[in-house]
Amino acid sequence: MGDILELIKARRSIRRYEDRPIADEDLLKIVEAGRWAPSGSNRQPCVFVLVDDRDAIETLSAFSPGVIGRAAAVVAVCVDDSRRLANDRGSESLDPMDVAMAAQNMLLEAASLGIGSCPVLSFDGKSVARVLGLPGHVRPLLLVTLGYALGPAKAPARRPLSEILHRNRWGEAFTK
Amino acid sequence: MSNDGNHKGIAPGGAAVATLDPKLTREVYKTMTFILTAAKTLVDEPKDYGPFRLVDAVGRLAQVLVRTGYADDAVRAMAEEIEHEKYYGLKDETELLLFLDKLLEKAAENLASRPKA
Repeated sequence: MGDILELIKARRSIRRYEDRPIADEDLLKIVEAGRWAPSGSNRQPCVFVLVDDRDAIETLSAFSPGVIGRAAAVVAVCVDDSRRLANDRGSESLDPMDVAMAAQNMLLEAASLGIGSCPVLSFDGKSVARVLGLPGHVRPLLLVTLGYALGPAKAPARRPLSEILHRNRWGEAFTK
Repeated sequence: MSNDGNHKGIAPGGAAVATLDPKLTREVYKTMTFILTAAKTLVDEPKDYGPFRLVDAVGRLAQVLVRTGYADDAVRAMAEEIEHEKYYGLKDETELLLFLDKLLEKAAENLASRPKA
């Protein structure tokens, strides 16, 4: 197993893509990574709509200002409310967390395959649900664009650990 | 306005009003939809997303004109500049304003020298 921290650090949000498709087997691996994400109360509420038809991506993009480049595929990460309602498992407040964990798995799997990605929150959920033909109990919470990066992307600066990490109590520095 | 398949625009009263390219009108309609969607999503988004979405919308419109063969040199140049800058520049407000000043200077020169339609 490779060093997962190096993969995490190497991942970038990619918005400019080459004009070439992603193999189905790689797309399936990326969604498989999302499937294995943890979820609150193990509800497994996430369902995925994989869009890789060019016209369908362009239509989806018209309702998604955050989709900047011409991705090879877009995955709508959705929650199926019936999973929660049928089993009385948790509240809606868990949904964004479950979706975020699934999406992060997908971003990392994509990075491990040499495929660029970008999580997108800037879209109109009602319109996206309509163009994807989602049933009423399925809501899109996040889009993940996928494609081969056109050129390298720089890593934005990160806040130092000393600024964000406290040990045992707020304000106490982490010292070894 | 609708299209009768012969590239004729039909006004609500039924009169033909213009010759339209269905590919162009579809692409423009998608761009209009993008702008409307941005107007909604921007309500909850950081303030500096607004100028970027407007620049992106202009870039998308310019690309539509390029792809459908309706772009002249000025439109093509604007499309290329926005396409490049939206990925590699516009990191902060200062860069955005410099970029917009450059584009607007060219636009002012262009519009002043264009023959009247």
